[in-house]
Amino acid sequence: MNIIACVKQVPYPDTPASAYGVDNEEKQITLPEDVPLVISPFDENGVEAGLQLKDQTGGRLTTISLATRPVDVILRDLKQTLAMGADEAILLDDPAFVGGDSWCTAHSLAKAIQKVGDVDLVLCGLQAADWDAGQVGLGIAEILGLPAATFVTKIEPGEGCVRARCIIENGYDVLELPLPCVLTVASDETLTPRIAPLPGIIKAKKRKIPVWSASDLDADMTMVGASGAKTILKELALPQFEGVCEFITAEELDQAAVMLAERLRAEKII
Amino acid sequence: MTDHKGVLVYGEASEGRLAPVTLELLGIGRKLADARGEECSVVLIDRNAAACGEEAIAYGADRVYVIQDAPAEYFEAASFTTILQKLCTETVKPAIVLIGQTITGRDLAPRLAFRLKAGLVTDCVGLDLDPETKGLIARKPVSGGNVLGTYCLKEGGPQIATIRRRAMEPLEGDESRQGEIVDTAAGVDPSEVKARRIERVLEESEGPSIENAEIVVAGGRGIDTSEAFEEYITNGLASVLGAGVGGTRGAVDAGLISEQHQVGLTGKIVGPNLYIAVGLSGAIQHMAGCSGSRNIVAINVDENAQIFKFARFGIVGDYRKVIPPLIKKLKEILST
Repeated sequence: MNIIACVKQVPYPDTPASAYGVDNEEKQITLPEDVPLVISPFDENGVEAGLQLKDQTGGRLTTISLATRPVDVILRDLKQTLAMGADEAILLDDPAFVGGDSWCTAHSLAKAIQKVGDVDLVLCGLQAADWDAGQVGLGIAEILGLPAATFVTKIEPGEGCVRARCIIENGYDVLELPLPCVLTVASDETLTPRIAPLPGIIKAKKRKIPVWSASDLDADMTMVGASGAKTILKELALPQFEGVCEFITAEELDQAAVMLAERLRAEKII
Repeated sequence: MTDHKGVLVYGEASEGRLAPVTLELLGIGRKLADARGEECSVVLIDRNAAACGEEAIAYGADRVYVIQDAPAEYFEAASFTTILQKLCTETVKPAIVLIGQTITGRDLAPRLAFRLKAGLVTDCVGLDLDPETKGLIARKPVSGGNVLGTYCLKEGGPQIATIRRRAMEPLEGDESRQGEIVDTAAGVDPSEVKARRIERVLEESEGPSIENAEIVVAGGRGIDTSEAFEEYITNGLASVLGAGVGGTRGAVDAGLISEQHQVGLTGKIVGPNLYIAVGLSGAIQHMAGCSGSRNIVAINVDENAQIFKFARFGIVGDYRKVIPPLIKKLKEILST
């Protein structure tokens, strides 16, 4: 099975709220320099899913990232996917990509997938932890005209098909999709990314990662960068907390508890 | 595509009733349509959809498109995308399409947007119209809710937004409202269904569903053990109040409560009248799932915990000392 996993770099997702700031001149979220960039968690689940399928069926896993962060960090993370067991990693980098949105990213990734060729399965994270949009994976499927499933937590290979377990509101569906197809992956304990083995890390360090530009992709320039974007970010703001908490205090906690119950009744909340 | 007019809501229904999120979408859809001087329509793709038509009109729709001949009996993303595509380009030609940020909505909206070459903003919590262009202005939390982004969308075709549950207020249902129910053919070839459903597994959940509960009692990692969680939260406070039980991701990861109770960005979104948060810090990812609650009560040993910024009432103290007397008093109050 020829598999592609798309990965994106995001600021460490458990960064405390107090670290966030906004720059409305540049329309950017600002964070202290010591906040690391990491592979977006759902994307990492996708890489793990790809490696598991490769373990079961043989074949190849290629990871692809479109540069939206400093290139050295992305190369580091792509090498991490090689160290984990991916066969190849590709970086898409071009000044023309700057200012793009989900629409543009999906178009560039779809072109890259076509350039890799003979792809059976494309894995994307359900959504990236920075802009929380959740559009790219399904966008790739639409552009390439492939069947797709979302919220996938388990993938079983079959004869010319995959079976995907997909979360629904009150349980899950198992869908059978013909290959080639696109799956967007959610989190599941079975998809916890593996730790890269030391020999893998050493080998990956020496690898040279190909960088493809917009012209390498034969990208439609009206589909990439700011001019291709369908959505325009107007403003960023830090959320304001509205509520003013009424602290209920008393000599003893059990008195405070009684007062709380009385307050809830007086306010007709219970 | 300047002939696109009005608002189209993608409706969800189950057991002959519209989903709460659909009523919320009709509420905001009605307001946006009025501000543009246009119609608000809703599409219901369901074998039993006809039963919900009157309800949709009572909650704000001028027109209800009922589609009962979709190739699959259940939600099937590829064929539903084509149905909506046809409505957007042929039958309805809406200027704005509103879809719930539900699991089905999150599957449907990006497909539709790419199919129509239209702009989409997902997970919106606020919608306005640009005073000049009358185009959508959409506000959504990004970076797990740590930042709010405001977007506008490219003109010239439908503008699409998915809306977070509980972010909008439904209108009061008014049965005297007039509207039209239009039976419409799906017009989809069954061969479009490529993903075949071979199994559906529904999970039984204990207690009332937290998404519709009037009261939710939730615990975080501040609860020491799963036994304590059961004693003080599930069989304690929640049981006395007839409340749903929720937990933070931390509580789920620590094995204090099962995953189906997780409230937050990656869990369920609740909006009860009363949300009692016990031993949870109020991380932004958790608050994304409960900030629509009308009244939040926080019980936490740490007076600096962020949850107190969201709470209306708070007690600083050990839950083991607060909850037993609280239960006792609540029993007394509720029996009178």
